[in-house]
Amino acid sequence: MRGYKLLLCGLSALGVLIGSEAQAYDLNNGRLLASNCTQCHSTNVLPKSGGYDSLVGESYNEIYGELREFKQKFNTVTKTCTENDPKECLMGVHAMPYTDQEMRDIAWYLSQR
Amino acid sequence: MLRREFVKYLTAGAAGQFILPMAGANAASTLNVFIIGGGMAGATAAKYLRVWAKRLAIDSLVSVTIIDKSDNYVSNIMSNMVLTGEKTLTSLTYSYANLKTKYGVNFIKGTVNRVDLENGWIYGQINNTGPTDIVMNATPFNRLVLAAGISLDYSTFTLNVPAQVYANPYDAVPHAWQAGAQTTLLRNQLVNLKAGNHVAITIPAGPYRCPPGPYERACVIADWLRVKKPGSKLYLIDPSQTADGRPPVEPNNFGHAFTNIHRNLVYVQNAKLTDLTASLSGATKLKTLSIAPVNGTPGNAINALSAATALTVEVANVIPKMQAADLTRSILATGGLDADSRWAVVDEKSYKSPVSGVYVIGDSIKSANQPKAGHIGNQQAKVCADAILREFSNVALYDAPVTNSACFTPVTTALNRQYGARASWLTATFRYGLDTDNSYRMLKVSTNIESPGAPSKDNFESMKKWFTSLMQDVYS
Ligand SMILES: Cc1cc2nc3c(=O)[nH]c(=O)nc-3n(C[C@H](O)[C@H](O)[C@H](O)COP(=O)(O)OP(=O)(O)OC[C@H]3O[C@@H](n4cnc5c(N)ncnc54)[C@H](O)[C@@H]3O)c2cc1C
Ligand code: HEC
Repeated sequence: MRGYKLLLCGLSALGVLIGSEAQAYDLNNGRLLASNCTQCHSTNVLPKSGGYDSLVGESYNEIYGELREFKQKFNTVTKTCTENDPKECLMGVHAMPYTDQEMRDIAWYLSQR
Repeated sequence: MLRREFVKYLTAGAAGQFILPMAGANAASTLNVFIIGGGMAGATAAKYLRVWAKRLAIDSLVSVTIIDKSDNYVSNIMSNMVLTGEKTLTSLTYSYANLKTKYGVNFIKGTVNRVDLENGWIYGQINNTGPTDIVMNATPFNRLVLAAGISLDYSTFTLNVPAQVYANPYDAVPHAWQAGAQTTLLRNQLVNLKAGNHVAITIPAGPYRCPPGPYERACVIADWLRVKKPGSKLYLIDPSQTADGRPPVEPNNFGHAFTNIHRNLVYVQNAKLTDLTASLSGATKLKTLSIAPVNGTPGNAINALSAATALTVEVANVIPKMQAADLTRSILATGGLDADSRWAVVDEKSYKSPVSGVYVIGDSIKSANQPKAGHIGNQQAKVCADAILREFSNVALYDAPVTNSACFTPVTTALNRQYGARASWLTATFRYGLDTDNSYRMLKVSTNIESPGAPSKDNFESMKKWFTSLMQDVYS
């Protein structure tokens, strides 16, 4: 057991995975960026009872797709929400900072069980 | 890391490549992190250090200990609703039990006095009894996280309180900006008012903890007064001024509430408290506030003060000027504070202080753009925890970390027959990057965004979800 742990430690501690193709995700980056979601959402890593729509069990495609959609709900030029519904706007503001690669890293990390 | 995830990770790795660790990669060493202050920022840092260390399968190498004065944390967030009787302090009280049992965080109850940075020893009083300057940690720390919040500075005005009015002069000016006994003190003073008595809230010069907080408090107290103390007025004394006389924070939301809802709220801009004198009128304790303009030129003709004046009220909620916790300021006195020696200087990429081995998170830091607030303190804690773990594992720090802030504010109370309980929110996102002055810091990505539309019942329901969820992210 100890050896197994140390092996994991050795490999994961290096953590950074350089993608040579689109389907590579960065564990450390996903972990850090996705921590911007756990104030408001229950997630696989840290499930909880309160909060907005739970992200527990959501797939990579669902989360990535939703993030892309919500990002559209914030106009970065006028710095205003394109939606009048406060909840949609709130989530729009929280999707807007991320690059496409970051949204992929977040979605990948949050979809792991 | 779970086995399945590890396998998947390896598979993914086959498509890419792993960066190999530097020789040894700290294999023999361990992290011994001590966190002073288990509030919004400190408790989050402790939890995430342990959760992530476990996920990286290095938890056996990462020991985390919180030291806090109290083994119960009372949330400031929502504490304005204790003033109006809508919430109790008990309902806002959190223990460290989950952090201990679920994540293996160690906890020491005690007040820290000083720190021996060179040798990793922390001195203070354990359990708040007995000797006040003994070593509190059994093993020396190799990382220190300061998360002790704020301290209050009363030097900006003179306070004259005869002993026959209040034995403790500060009882004449409850701040209720650190929830707990102070909240109860202010609540009791409000409850004991007679109808037609008045209340003043004074806002300090910035930066202060929770920018929307004073306006939120003015709204809910005004709402409560209208029902419970007919004829009473609420004076809000603000050192800021704006061209249109609306509050500088959440101008749409609070502007709407001040003009359309809270007719008993008298809002005065460009005004600072210079003196507070307490006196007795029969059994009633009066407070006379001397108020002076901040700026010689009033910024508007609506509510900006143009000449010094005085105001007498029965309750004076003076929110004093703030600075980093006294302990933080003394530990960082040599090279870790800003020019005024008020706030801790950090690199917002990792929250590392220029003082070696020390990190500072939460309200104690100097930040050009990030507000002093609990939600964002929680996120700063995660960025800091990530940086500590990456550095320990020889993984480069993330280039441009993101943080986010959200402040929900009740604007009316359940007592309000016309509106019911309504709320609004203010949110913003930030990212680390190069500023126009060629310095790296957290920059605003979204700017401050207010909830669209007027304060609403829906937002009030949303606020409950947000608060429950945020506090679970810290303490559950
Ligand atoms: C009325 C009000 C409303 C607010 N509303 C919101 C909101 O809607 N959203 C939001 O994001 N923020 C809000 N805030 C702000 C939020 O409460 C603070 O920004 C947040 O608590 C800061 O976290 P912190 O960890 O830096 O400090 P704190 O939470 O104050 O924690 C500091 C801890 O350090 C401990 N400590 C200090 N000195 C020592 C010592 N010498 N030894 C041992 N322990 C020590 C204290 O006991 C305390 O537990 C509000 C604040 C107020 C007052
Ligand atoms: C300040 C609170 C807040 C934060 C932080 C936040 N969200 Fe949300 N999120 C919301 C709200 C509110 C909604 C609901 C929108 C609605 O009901 O219309 C939502 C909805 C969603 C949805 C769609 C609902 C579903 O079940 O699929 C997804 C996906 C989502 N968020 C993902 C994220 C991710 C990923 C992050 C981190 C990058 C994040 N959220 C951060 C508040 C937040």
